[in-house]
Amino acid sequence: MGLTAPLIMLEGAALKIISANALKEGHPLWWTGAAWSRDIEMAVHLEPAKAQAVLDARLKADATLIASGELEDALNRRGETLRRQAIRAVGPTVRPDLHRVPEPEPMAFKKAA
Amino acid sequence: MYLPSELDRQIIQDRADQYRDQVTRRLSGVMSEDQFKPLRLMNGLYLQLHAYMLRVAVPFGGYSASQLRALAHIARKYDRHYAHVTTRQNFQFNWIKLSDTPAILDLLAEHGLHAIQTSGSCVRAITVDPYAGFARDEVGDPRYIAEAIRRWTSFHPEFTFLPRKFKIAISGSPEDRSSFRVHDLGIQLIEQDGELGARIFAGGGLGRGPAIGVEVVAFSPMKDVIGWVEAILRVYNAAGRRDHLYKSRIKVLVASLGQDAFCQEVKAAFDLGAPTRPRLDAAEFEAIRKAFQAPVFEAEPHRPRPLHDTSAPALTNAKAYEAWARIMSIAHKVPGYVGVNVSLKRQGGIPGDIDADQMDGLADLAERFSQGELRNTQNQNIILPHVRQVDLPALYAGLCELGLESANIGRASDIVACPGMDYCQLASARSIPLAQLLSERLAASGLDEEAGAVSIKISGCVNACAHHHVADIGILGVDKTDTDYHQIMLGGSAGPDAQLAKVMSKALSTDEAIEAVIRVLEHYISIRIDGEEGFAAVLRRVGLDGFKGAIDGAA
Repeated sequence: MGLTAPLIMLEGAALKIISANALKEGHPLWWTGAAWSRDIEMAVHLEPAKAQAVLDARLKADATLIASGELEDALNRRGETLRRQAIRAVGPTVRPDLHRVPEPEPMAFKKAA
Repeated sequence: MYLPSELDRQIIQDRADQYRDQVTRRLSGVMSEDQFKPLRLMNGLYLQLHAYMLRVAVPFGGYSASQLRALAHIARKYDRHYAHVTTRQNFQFNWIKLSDTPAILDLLAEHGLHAIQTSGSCVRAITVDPYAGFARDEVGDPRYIAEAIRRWTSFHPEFTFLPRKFKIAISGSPEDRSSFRVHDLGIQLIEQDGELGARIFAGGGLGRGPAIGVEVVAFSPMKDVIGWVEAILRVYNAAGRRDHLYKSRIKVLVASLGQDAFCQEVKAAFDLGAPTRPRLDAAEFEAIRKAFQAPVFEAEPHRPRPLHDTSAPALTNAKAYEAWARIMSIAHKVPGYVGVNVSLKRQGGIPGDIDADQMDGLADLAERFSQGELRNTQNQNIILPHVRQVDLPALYAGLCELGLESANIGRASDIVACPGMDYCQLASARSIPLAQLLSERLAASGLDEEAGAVSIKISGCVNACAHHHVADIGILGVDKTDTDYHQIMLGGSAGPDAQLAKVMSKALSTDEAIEAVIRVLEHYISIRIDGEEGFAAVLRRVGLDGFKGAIDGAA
């Protein structure tokens, strides 16, 4: 545990997820590898170089679907979803009444070419 | 309050029409995000963690009951039933859809409102003393010169693309309630030999590298104020850094040139601009003054009653009313009237948030008791500026029905907090949970009442939107191993003799920060003289070291 776990965490921290906001509605989205989803659990973890290439491609291909795009660390050093991303995924921690209620199926409105 | 002219309305509607076309082109793909982003920002539309955020300008913090109802309608129809009052006296909506924004801007325009100058590298919406026009210590109403500057800077082609944003604050009183020393440009109206004029400062600012503005002009006649503002903007526009985001504010330019050299540059620009210098002559000034709807005061304000009258039939809790009237009333220049603070700092609540029903209810109360006028303050509260003392009990009863009766203005629980990581893309830590927990703790411990006037301001990052550098107790959020941590600072103050707070602690967890603040307040209470010495006075007397033990838990 003492040796293995930190190594796994460091590897996890190096991987990236691709995040964006929906152009029309503004809500957060994550790239699943095949589509954009509102569910961060569906986000694909990629090596940084690969993630950047995918992001560049999506920004071009999905210009009328997303307003922005960025790479974020997939996990923090404790192996958890980054706090900022976790808050984006759910809603403000101070307004649980406004938290997102996930749809039965992830909202994927754009299949990858 | 300012009444938009037909020209104002036409300009606002024209801008809304342009924006509708821009959104259409963006949604259809004709315009790229890179092309669209600066345009949406010029209309106050940011992209935050959960959605678009629309910042609505409230020039000089003042607005009408009918405008507040329009904002409540936006909150209900296009947002999630609430709005947020910012430290720049504006309103923000946090859950906006891009596709709804053209309709929202149309609605705002219909009510003389807009989002112009709420973002971008331009002169931002000007802030003034929220007591403007009714403060007893006022030498001149700061709103008139603010409006003159607004008219002159709006869409000014020379100053639309400055190196960075440019914030102006104006005070009309010796006591500062606008923090003019920590703005890019600060103006304090003063009298000299019976003439009203302005003392002008530049190079102040909070955020990264906070700085206190330096005096550029000791006394300017009112007619020349715009000329001096033009000269300062011109020097900044020409010499301000555009190569480095964090070095682009005027405070960096002033620091790099030095006060004397900067002032010389400004004087040269002022002289050079003399032939075409914009002047504010008496007729123009009078026209601006007339654009503000003057309140109508009764000469004999109805059966004079003591300020803390408890005889109104609606009152069920006379003791609470008495405390509220004492703490929340503001001395008014007209006998028989008071200004009334409405606190948006309910115990355990979110500082600055107000829901749509409260907005509608407050609009009704403003019409009944304050000539339909309201103000936002830099401390994220609201003021009803012209209330007859005789109406205080009925107003209190109305506020109680809305849940807006908190009596804590200026106290420790009147915490200013930025949205922090719960909403903001830039934040390093959450601010609101700390504010909520701290306000509950202060109330439960009785410290809030015992400590009296102490300011606490919590920012979620170095951008300092909560102005933590100028608080008695400033708290800065930092990110440490992806967890909320906070640094505590002491000894800041705005005002003519502004001082920046000094860092007093290492990064503390939220629980540790709360305990440290509690210890600081307990220590302050234990060493203040006669139970009345103010927090800043105690700090001056004992020095920061006198509080180190309280911060560290060793006192």
